[in-house]
Amino acid sequence: MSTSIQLRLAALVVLAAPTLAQDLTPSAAAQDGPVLLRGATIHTVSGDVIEGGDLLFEDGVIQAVSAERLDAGEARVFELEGRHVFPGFVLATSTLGLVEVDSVDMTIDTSEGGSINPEVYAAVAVNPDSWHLPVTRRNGVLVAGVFPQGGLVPGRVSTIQLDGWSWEDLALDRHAGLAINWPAERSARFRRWSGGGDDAGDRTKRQIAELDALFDAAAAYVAAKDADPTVPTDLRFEAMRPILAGEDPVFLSITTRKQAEAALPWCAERGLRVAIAGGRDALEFADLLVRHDVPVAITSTHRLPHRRDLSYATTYELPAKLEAAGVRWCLTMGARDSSNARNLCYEAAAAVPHGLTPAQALRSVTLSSAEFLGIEDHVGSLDKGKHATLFVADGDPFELGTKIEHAFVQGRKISLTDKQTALDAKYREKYRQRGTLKRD
Amino acid sequence: MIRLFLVAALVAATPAFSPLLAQDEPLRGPRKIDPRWHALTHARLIPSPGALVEDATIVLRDGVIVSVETGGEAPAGARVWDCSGLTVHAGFVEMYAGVEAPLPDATGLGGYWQSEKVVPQRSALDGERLTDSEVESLRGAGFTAAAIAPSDGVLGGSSAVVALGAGEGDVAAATPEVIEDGVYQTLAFRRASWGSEGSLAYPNSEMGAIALIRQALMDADHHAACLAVDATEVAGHEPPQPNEALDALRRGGAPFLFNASSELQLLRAARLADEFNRPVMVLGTGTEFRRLDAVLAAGLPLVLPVNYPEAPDVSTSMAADAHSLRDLATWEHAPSNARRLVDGGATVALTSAKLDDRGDFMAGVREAIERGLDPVEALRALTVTPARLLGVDDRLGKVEPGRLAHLVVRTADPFAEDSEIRDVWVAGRRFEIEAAPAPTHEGDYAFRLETEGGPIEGTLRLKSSSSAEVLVGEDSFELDDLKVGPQHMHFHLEAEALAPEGVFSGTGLFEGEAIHGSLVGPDGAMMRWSATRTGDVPDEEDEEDDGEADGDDRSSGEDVESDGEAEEPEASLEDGPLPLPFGAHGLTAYPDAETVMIRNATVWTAADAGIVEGAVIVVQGGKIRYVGPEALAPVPGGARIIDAQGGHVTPGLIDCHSHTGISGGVNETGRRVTSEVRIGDVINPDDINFYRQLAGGLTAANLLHGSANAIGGQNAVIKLRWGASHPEDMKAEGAMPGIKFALGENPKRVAAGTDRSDEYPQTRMGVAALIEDRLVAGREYRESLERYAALSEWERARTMPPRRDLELEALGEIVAGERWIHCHSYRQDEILMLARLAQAFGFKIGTFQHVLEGYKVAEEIAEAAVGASTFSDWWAYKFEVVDAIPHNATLMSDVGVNVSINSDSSEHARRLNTEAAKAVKYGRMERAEGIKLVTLNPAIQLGIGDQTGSIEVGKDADLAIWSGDPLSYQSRCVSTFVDGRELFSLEADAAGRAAAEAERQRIIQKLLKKGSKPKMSRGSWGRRGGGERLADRDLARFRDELEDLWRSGADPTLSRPGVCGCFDVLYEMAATRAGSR
Repeated sequence: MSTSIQLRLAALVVLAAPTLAQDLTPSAAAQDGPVLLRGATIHTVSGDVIEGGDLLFEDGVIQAVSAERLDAGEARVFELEGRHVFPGFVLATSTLGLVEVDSVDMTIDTSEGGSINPEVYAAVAVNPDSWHLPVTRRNGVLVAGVFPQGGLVPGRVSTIQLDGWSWEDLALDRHAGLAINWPAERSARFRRWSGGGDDAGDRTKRQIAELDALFDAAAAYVAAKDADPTVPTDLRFEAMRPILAGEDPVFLSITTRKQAEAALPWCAERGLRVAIAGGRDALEFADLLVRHDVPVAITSTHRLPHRRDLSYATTYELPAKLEAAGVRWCLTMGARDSSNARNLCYEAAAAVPHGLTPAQALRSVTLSSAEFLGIEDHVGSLDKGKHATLFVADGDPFELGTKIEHAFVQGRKISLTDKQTALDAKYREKYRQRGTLKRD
Repeated sequence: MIRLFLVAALVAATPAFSPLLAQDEPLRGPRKIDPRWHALTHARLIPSPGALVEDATIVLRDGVIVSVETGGEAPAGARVWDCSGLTVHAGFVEMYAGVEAPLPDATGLGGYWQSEKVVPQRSALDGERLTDSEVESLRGAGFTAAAIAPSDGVLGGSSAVVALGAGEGDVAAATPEVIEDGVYQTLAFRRASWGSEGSLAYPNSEMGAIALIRQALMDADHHAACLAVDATEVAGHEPPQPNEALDALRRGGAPFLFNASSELQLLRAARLADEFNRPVMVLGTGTEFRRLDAVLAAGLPLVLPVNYPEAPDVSTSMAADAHSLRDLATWEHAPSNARRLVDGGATVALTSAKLDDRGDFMAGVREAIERGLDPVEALRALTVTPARLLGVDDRLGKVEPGRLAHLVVRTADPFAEDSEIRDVWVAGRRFEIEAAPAPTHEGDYAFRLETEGGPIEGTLRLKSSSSAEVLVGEDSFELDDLKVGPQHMHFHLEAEALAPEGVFSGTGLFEGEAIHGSLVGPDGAMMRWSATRTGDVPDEEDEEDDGEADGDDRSSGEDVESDGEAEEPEASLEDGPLPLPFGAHGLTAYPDAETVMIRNATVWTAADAGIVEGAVIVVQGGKIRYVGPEALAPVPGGARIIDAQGGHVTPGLIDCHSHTGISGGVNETGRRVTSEVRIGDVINPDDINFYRQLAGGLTAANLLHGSANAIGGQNAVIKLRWGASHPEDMKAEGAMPGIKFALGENPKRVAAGTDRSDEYPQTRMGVAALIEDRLVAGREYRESLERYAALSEWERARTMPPRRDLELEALGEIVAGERWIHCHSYRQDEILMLARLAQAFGFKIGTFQHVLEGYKVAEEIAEAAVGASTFSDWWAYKFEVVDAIPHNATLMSDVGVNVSINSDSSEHARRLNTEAAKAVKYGRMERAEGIKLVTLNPAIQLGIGDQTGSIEVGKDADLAIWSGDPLSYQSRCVSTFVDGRELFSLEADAAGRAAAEAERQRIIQKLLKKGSKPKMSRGSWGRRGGGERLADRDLARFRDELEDLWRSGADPTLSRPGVCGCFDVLYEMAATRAGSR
């Protein structure tokens, strides 16, 4: 139940209008025949890099990845000598489609009222015509986790692909797991600055008690409902069935070791599957992560060190250190504002001069992120049987000079134009007309 | 007036009661007379610091010291106080004791001046004075007089020195309370509190408070000048209005006491003192050692608290992690603060202010002495120096004839560990602090018990008030249930020698050296006994003699620590230079400009030469001396050769929009136009983000006011001179003065967030009108000054001078082309509006900042402004930026605009090189042009393009060395030079991190060994220092706001571009919501 993959291949009319902003143009047509990417350097991520390899996909699914030349048959062939093929980047945590303009409340659908909302899920509110989707995918981000925000239990996480006519098209997995903001003590700095408030420890205890009450009540409800179907239905607890059963994970937002020390045994005792988002201090609780075999999505390398004495490079060094510590990790960005989601690959790249290999950096924003979201059977690497959700670039995508030339989502060749490229073209034309363009 | 009276009293030796002192109420019943005529005899007198008179006789009469003699005799009639074995010194003088004083009547003369924070006409004597318990706690610490001062306000009013104890008791007349009125004016950079005066009261930033003070002092001068004109010629102008506030600030009046809440504030106050040539004293924070050299160079008299921080909690490793080295080392060094400042030649007074509990004061002073402060200097800092600073040194501070009778009588030298105060004399009246302990009767006594069988003799050994034994021949008997009082003793005795069974019950009466007692046997028969003291109880073992009070205060240092914990003074700790900025990565000495040759590098010149492979750069005297092929390079003697190993060198990066290192608020939101405030007044060189940005190759930045106001504050262009001594040293020489403007949503939102429905501007129309109006006003202001300057001297003496107005002055500079606008802007309409306005006025705009729709009106920008400074790719965070495109930089550049890419974020500023690379990515800009976006172009936009921003001979040696292509993610900054000084390098960084960690662990170990309990509870940092606390309801709301943001993943330490600092966003959010509710 947890993975409801949409693989619909209805034939659609192609309306090619590449100079218009993507939010005004139709989504890509379904793949109407096999496609062969020929002679490219194929970065499978799951396995070796294949120089001069071929990749064949049909019906949205990769049929073959080969170092040998594949028979083109009826496939449309892209001759890609000197080009590189990568699986689409996977942004583990985002609010893509839920937020349009950060400062305009009416464009924000991230946070339902109240503190505990397991009944809500993100996919249903993702706006397929959001300006953010085409802007984000232009830099190779083709898959994302969408996280409700706010309160103790913000709701259920969905995973989406960044092309589709409707939110149903976009959704890869509507119910990927339950987001929980694990209770945090306010930092001393925060308390000092804000003048105190209730005692940090008491507050944390109270909130953990709230979580206990929720999970106990849900378990009691499930037992009752299963024994007697006339028990009235509670949507919150129904939504928690796969969580309680350990089928879908809880995504815990955790920053400090103190939180991890409280949360991981709590989850283990209840038999929950766990993934952690945030992970600022993950190195300090690497032992817990390894012992409990829990993956962590690190929020951003482009952050300031949180303490004065820490190395200026603390956030850049973290990924390599986690790798060395044997932690399952991926790199993500702060979910609150996803307007900069297109910079995901640069966040990963920033760790490379600080000990991470480019291959490790690449995995952290592809396969590792897919594993974090539980969709690694479908996306995150270039393997037979996975979605043809990938892009073609003229070089190393971490380099700022590299251009992404083609991108496919489930085999559909998507447009790489958007509102921003349209505005660029429009005003370039203005100055061209007026003869004031000194360089064109 | 009072002072005159005192002198007269002395000369005339008038009767005891002053005819000038009012009696509050008519007498009830007979008078109660206190002759106030005393002689303290046989005292060990410290008449002034460093002096000593044994066996002194001090005669006090009518509140004045009449005579001080060695030996001498008490005059007949004086009440005699035997001070044998006691030490007498002058009463301590407290320089600051805050009191509440009511605000003056708003309708009074002059009313409030601009703000109720400016009330210099107010006096500490207007209000309730010190509470009885405050007075008692002061006297208990040895203070006999205190300068009381209004505890709030920016210019909060005047202080008076009062005697601590006047009016107490029931004698017929009070002693004089006020020793001197108007001894100083209080000064503080206090901000309007949130909420209580509307969230947007002025000033709500530190720079706003400074601007307010400057304007007030200028107005005082202006007021005086107007009065002078009016005195010369009454006709031809309207009469100047009486103004008590401005009168109170007149020149030649009292000095200022500045209440600092940080050592940086102290330096800011020193700048005010210089600018206005006004005497300023500083009530410090105890952290002056963190900027020691600059504080000493400021040369201001210092009033230092002893509010050392509590021992940081390092009980767990997690708790220890929460403390920075800066905090840990501050704890360690704080007790040395006074010593360092005294050694450095500063004038130092000590104060009990800023302590939570004044009972900790003497322990704090003793700790300073343990850490090297000369006890003589400590005494001076509590007597002579404060008396002098308060202008009462002819009356207080020493024990000399003619001075006021303010004395402390104590058991030992003032700072000896076991020195107890017996009495404090205030204005010739005695206040007992701690009575001498009752005499003890311990000792050996020869006793004789009369029994029926004849006398029994032996020794009674009274060991303590509860332990004694009787020794008779070889036998000894313990006395049971012994109780020894001042005059009596009671005990029980079981002694087989006297009776085989039963208990004897005894009593004794002490009479001098003798005891006379009785003993009642089990049979009820009473026997008499008596005893005579023969001497002390002999030592049973080799007792340590540390119980002896030897009066040597220098030895007292070691006694402060309990046994076994006595620390060896750490010579290196006390004498070594302290790092600047204090904490990790601080420099103990700012480096000299190096002579350097950088070879084997690809040089991005950001000049006509473009990108040159294999070039050599020679740096000398802070300047670039040579760029070119190695073969032709001069090699100055002593040059350090840096092999870049195939790396790249760029000019130091320049950030044209930064809010890093600004103290006390980035926005002044108390007014809609704040051109009078200056970021340059509040530079915080301790901000660790400067170091982090150096690590990203940044060497200069444009520190800007926030975007809350249509017309904001003045900018400061700085170089990242990490480790420089004074905040002023950060400023880049020769930069064009600038000012922040802001269009669109931000100023609208802030104005709409106030509680006034007519607040301006709430639309882009209003923004345009407001800016036009203020520019006109600035121009007309300048014209009025010019007209006045053109008058003859004769005319000027008869013409009211124009008021110097800091707001209009800056606006006038803009119109005159002397100050460049850096304008926060987004939409093309507003950009065009300001461009046209500037053109109409005939001045050039500096930069449009953010300017995310700049690509739509690039031609107009190229014409009207020096440049445009934008983000690489931020968008969609507000409605007005939905049309932002990452091609903006390139497109504007392609139309001829000078474009820079800025950070507006302490975090982005660490990686402007890859931000610039995004312009290459999105717009296919040439790589050599791309680097100019963050080097030469911003330099030009800040008016320092001829000094820095490119690698050309003669320019400042501001350089960044990279491990590879600076536009590639694979590269990192290896070394950063500012003015030819290497202020960052990977090697130095690694060494600095290791050193900081070792230092942290050393201090943590020290704390762990001490045990986690703080030795004494002390004042906490900043709580009483400067800013006021938020009102509770605002706190609650604000906490929630932050909490939400935090929960949702935003870290308050992470500032976001485009919104001018995270806290400002929160502020604006809070303000907006307050308005909408």
